[in-house]
Amino acid sequence: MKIHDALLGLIFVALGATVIAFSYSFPTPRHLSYGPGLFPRLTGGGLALSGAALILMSLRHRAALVEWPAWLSDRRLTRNVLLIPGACLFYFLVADTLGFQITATLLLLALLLSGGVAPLRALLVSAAVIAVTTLLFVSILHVPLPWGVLAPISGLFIW
Amino acid sequence: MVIVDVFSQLADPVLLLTIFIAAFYGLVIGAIPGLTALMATALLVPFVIFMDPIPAVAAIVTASAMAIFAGDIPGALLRMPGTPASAAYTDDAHGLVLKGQAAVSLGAGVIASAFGGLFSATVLTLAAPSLAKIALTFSSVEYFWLGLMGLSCATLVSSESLLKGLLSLFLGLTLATVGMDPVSGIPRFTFDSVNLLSGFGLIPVLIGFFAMGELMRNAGVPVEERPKLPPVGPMFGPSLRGLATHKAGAVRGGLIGTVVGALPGAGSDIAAWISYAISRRGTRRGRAQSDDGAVERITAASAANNASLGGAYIPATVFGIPGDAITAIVISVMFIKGINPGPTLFLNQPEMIYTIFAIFFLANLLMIPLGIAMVRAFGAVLRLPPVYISPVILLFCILGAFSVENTMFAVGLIVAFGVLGYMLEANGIPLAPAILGLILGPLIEQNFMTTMLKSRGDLGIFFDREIGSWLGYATIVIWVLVLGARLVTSLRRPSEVDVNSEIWNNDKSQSTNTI
Repeated sequence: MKIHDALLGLIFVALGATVIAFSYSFPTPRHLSYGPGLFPRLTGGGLALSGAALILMSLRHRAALVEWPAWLSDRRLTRNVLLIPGACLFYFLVADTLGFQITATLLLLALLLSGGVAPLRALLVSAAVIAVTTLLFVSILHVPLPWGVLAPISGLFIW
Repeated sequence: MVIVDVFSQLADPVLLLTIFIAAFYGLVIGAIPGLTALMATALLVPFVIFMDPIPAVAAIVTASAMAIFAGDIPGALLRMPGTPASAAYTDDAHGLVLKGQAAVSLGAGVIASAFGGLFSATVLTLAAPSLAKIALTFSSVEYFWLGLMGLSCATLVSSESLLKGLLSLFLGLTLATVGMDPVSGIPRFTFDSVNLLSGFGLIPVLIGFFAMGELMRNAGVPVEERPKLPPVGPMFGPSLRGLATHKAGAVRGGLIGTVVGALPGAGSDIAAWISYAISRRGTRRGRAQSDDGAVERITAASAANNASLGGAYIPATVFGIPGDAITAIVISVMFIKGINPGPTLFLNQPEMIYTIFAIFFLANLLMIPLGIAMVRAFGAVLRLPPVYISPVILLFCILGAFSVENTMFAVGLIVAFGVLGYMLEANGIPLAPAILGLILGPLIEQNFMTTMLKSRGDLGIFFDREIGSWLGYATIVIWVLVLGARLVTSLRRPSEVDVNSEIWNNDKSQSTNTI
C-alpha cells in the first residue's frame, strides 16, 4: 500500500507530536537535570521535522493519495499475503493453550493448502517438519516451547 | 615451549571433532533467518558445561564465527539477513544474486569473513594486552560520541531519499526509548504492559521487518512471476580472485572490525555498519553503483563483522571484560571451567590462552570449505518449490523470536513489525536505518545520561576528556562532511531540486539530533 508522501509525512508529524506530548507525562526525578523525557522529545522532534520536510517536498508531486497494491485485485494472492501475518497472529493467540506442536501443524497446513499443495501431502509435510523442529528445539536445544494440552506427554521429548 | 604445547593441544582428535560439529551447528543456526549468532552461543552453553575447558571454549568460538558468516547466506539468497550483522549489506548481496552473480556475492562474503577473522586473530595474538589498555580508557563520554558517529552511517548508507532514511532512523531511535529509562528506571510508552518494560528486543524487530516483510512481499507475487534464484556455480576461484582485487577493502574491514569489537558494548553489527558506510561513501571503489562496488562493500562489511568477534576477545581475555554479549557468555563459561580471564592468564597459563587464539585461526580457515558447502546446501534447499519454503521459513521466524526472548509476546511483535515493515518498504522508507537506531539509541541515551550524572549536568564534559574531545570533534567533522558531500552531489545535479531541499531539511533535523 503506497500512500502519497504528503500523507506519509503527516502521519510521521502526528507520531512525533504524540511522542513529544507523551514525553511530558514522564516524571523527572529530583536532582536530575535531564529526565527520562529528554530523548523521546528529541527523537519525536526529529520525526516531526523530517515528516514536515517530507510534506513540503511532496506538495508538488502529483500522485494518487493511496495506491493499492496489485495483489488486492487477485483473491488468491490477497489470501496468501494476509495469511502470513494471520497465521503468526493465530500462533500468538492459541499456542499457549494448544501447544506448539498442534498450533504449528495447523499453521503449516493452512499455508501449504493455501499454496495449492494436495491435502494428504500437506499433512505429511507439516507432521514431518514439526517432528524435526520438536526434536531440534525441544529435545536437543531445550527451548521452552509451549506444550499446552500436550503437556502430559512433554516429558518424553525433553531429553 | 608454549608453541609446542599449543600444537600438542590442537592435535587432540576430540577437540578437532568438537570444532567440526560446532562449525556445522553454527552454520545451520546462522543460516536460518531469525536464528542469530548470539542464540547459537547461548543454546550451546548447556552442552559445553560438560566438556573440558579447551573444547568448551573452542566450540563457542567456532560456532559464533560460523553463525556470523552464515547470516550472509539467507541475506543474499532470500533478502532476509540471518543476523543483525548482515543487515547492512543485504540489498547489495541480494542484488548481485539476482543478477546471476551468486558465486561472487556469497564468495566475497565467505572469503572476507574468513579474512576478517584471521586478521583479528593475528591482532589478538600479537597485541592483545596493549590494545586492551586503550579500549579500557574509554568512558561514557567516548561511547556517547561513538554512538553519534555511528548514527551518521544511517544517512551514509541510505541511497535513495536521504529524508526517508532519516525518518526511518528517527523511528528506530523512538522505538528504542520504549521501556524503562536507563537511569531512573521510569517506564516509558509501556502502557502498563510488563512485556514492554525491557523495550523491543532487536531480534523480533529484525525478524518482523526483514523476514516477515519479505514473506508478505513474496506472497503477493504469483509464483510464476517471482525472480528465479540463479544457480550458484563454482565459488572458490571467484572468491579468491575477489579477495585479491578487493584486498584494501578487506584490510580496512578487518581493522575497523577489530577496533570496534574490542570496545566493550559495541559488537559485530555496529562494526559491519561502520565499515559498510565508510566503503560506501569514503572510497571511490565502494561508491560505484556497479557490481564491483557492491562486492567491495560486501567484502569490507563481511570482514568487519567477523573481525569484531576476534576484537571482542581482546578485553575479554586480557581483563575479563566482555566486548559483546557473545564474549560475555564465553567469559562465564571460562570461569566455570576454571580459566580465569585476566592479566594473570597470560602469565600462568599461556598455553591455554594461546591455544584458544590458535582455535580462532583454525575456525576461520575451516570457514572457507564449510561455508562454501553450506551455501551449496542452502541453495539446493531453496530450489524446492516456494510453496514449501515460505511456510517453513515462517515457522522458523516464530521459533527464532520465541527462542531469543522466551515469551509469546515476541511472536506478537514479529506480526506487528512485519506489517509495519511491509508498509514502510512499500512507501520507500528503508528499514536498515531503523535497525541502526534501535541498536545505537540505548547506547547513546545511556551514555549521555551517565555522563550528565557524573558531571552534574555540565555539558562541557563532552569536550574535557582527551580522547573524548577528539572523538567529539571527529564526530562533528564527519557530520559536516556527510552533509557537505550530499550538498555537492545535489549541486552537481541542479535539475533535481528535491535533493537540494532535502539537504536543507536534513541539516535542521540533524542539529536536533546532535543537541
